[in-house]
Amino acid sequence: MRVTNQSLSQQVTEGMQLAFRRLAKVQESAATGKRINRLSDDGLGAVQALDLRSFSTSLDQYARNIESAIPLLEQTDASLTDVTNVIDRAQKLAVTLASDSYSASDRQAGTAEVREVLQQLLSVANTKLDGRYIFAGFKNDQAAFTDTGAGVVYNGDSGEITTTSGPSASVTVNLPGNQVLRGAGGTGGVDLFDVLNDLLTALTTNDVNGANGVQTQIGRLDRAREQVVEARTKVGARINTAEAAQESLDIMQVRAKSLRSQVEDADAIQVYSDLARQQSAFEAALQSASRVIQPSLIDYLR
Amino acid sequence: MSILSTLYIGRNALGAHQQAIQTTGHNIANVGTPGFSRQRVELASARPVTLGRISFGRGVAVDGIRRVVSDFFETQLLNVNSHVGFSEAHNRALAGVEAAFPTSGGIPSALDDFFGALSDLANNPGGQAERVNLIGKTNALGESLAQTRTILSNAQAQLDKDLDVAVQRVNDLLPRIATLNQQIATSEVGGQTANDLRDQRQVLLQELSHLTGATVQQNDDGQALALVNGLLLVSGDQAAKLDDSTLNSAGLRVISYESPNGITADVTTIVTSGEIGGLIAARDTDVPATLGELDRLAKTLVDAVNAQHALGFDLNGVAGGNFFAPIATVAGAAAQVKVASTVAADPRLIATAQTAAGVPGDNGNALALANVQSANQVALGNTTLRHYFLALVGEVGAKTQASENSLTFQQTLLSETQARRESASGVNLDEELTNLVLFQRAFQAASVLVRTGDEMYQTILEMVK
Repeated sequence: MRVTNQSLSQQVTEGMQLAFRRLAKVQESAATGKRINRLSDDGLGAVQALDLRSFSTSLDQYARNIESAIPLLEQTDASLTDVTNVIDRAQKLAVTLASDSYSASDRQAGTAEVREVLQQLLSVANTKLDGRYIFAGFKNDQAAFTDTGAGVVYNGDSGEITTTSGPSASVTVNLPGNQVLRGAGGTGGVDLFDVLNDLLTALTTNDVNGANGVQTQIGRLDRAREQVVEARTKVGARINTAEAAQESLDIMQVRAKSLRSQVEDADAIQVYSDLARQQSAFEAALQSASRVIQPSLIDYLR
Repeated sequence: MSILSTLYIGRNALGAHQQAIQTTGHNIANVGTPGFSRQRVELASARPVTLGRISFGRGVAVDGIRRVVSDFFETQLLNVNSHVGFSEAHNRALAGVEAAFPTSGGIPSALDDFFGALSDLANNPGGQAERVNLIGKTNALGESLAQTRTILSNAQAQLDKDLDVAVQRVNDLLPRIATLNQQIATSEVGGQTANDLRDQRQVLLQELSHLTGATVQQNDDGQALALVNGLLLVSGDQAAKLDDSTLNSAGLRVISYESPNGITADVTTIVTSGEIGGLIAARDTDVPATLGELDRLAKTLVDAVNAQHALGFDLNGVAGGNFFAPIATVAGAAAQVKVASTVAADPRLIATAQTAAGVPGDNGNALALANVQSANQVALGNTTLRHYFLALVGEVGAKTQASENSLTFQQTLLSETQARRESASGVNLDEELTNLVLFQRAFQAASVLVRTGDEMYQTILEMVK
């Protein structure tokens, strides 16, 4: 094929342009550390990277949700321990006062301490965390229980608050007070406030062995303790599930980030070797250009 | 007489080689002229004279000056130029669309932050800070959507401007081609070819093809006919005109065509190749498609969230109103995503509870609102908001990638076709310089011939003194 000055210089220019363009592209990857700097670099890869990024964000959200749930669950557990202590204290009192070596007036004197125990229970039942009453169900902006003087009233509801701990997993973070402390929502539940009040009555009326006597209340306190243990087991299980979920989220997050890096990050070694290669290709293009466009017949005529 | 014929031969040789040198000079001068076709002086030996049985040669004569051109390559070049014109314009436009969608952050990130803020609110439905944060993230999402929409509609407006520039260029070319047709007809009356005028016309025709994808037909009388999809652009000395002063309902230019005899037509959908074709394809098909998908995403987001919000109860125990300001139609929706003014003024109106009695701890509706993120939306073809957006982005990336590949291919083809054309018609300086030496020597030798003839005459005259 006949070659003309224009076609030769066109070819030389295009060669330099191509080398330069390739060099610029590799330099971009070297500077940003990313293989994909715009959608058209790799349409499918760009979408995958965006998707993985969103997935990582959702994993972070689940982790945040669990982090807000665990303190609540742990506080519930701690408070239930306090309730168990209250039950123990009440029961010890009751057992002591039920013994024959105590008189009616001793029993009457014992009611003061029982009243203290009742107040302690009320205080624990109205535990607040982050400004919310943990045993009030949904109605957590007000005290769960109030002592009206004529008895203790539950102001909360049976609402169970959940939070999302995974793509299709959730954790219940509270225990409604009426269930664990009043025995609602189940069969054979015991109302602990009731029991303490009945104990007060029994001591006042010196009723030890009657139908509602001190001995009966001791039995009911046993049942109450079991109720609390059941609740603590439930809460403990939730804490374990939440912590396990946290671990598995961590693992998923590492994998998600690693996958995303594989898709969108530039392989550093590859990039630097490409850079060196394109640089020398570009220099070769320049050198050969200078060799080819300069000589002419004019240099040799006469 | 034989000496005279020697002188004649010498004189004709001097003239012929002088023309040859001049033509060579013309070629050398135009080595860098785009679209130039080298010219060759056709030297032929003059008709011999026969005396008896002997045939006497009468030297050299110039048969004509021929332009070395291959019609095949010229036509191929027109064709490739049209494709390159389309690909360049189309690719440039798509790159503008692509710029609206970064590879990280952007709308997906804003959507994630919005739903994240809803999740955080579900963890403390009675909290004020979480509500304020949600409103902040909602506004950020609205801004992200609106900004993206603006970039796209600005790109569309720019394409419209580029279209105007291209149309003006075409209107500049057509009369010039028609004038050249006329000039060529006039100069070729005597039978010689108007080489340089034809070269100039070819350059204009190449540019016309680049702009419109025009095809060219040559008449027997050397006139060039330029057509686009059956529309006559130039015929003989008659030129058509393109007009783009009317706007359509979207405020974009309509291309109308006016034939040399005044017949008009709307040809916006008829010019489908060349730069104008590429610009129109991007302006009227590609950009609107992406805009439409973005708007649909925005409207579906607003509708789905508002619908769920209405099912819940706010901190006052009142059923939820609109969370987003409602949007009437899909068109333009992406610019209208913002928090309802009532909610913005009083964050307590955000409906987090599932029942009125459950306020404030009931986070059922807040959880449901957060779940809108992963719900399949019927309006989007039963896919989630995020997947719909990723499909949109994937489409933009794939189209842009494809147009880049097409452009690279067309440009390579153009290079090769140009090289082939050059190989037929281009000027090679070394070749011309060699010819120059040859013709110069021939001129010198011819001048020696004339001197010899003259000396022969002197000799004869001295003979009879």
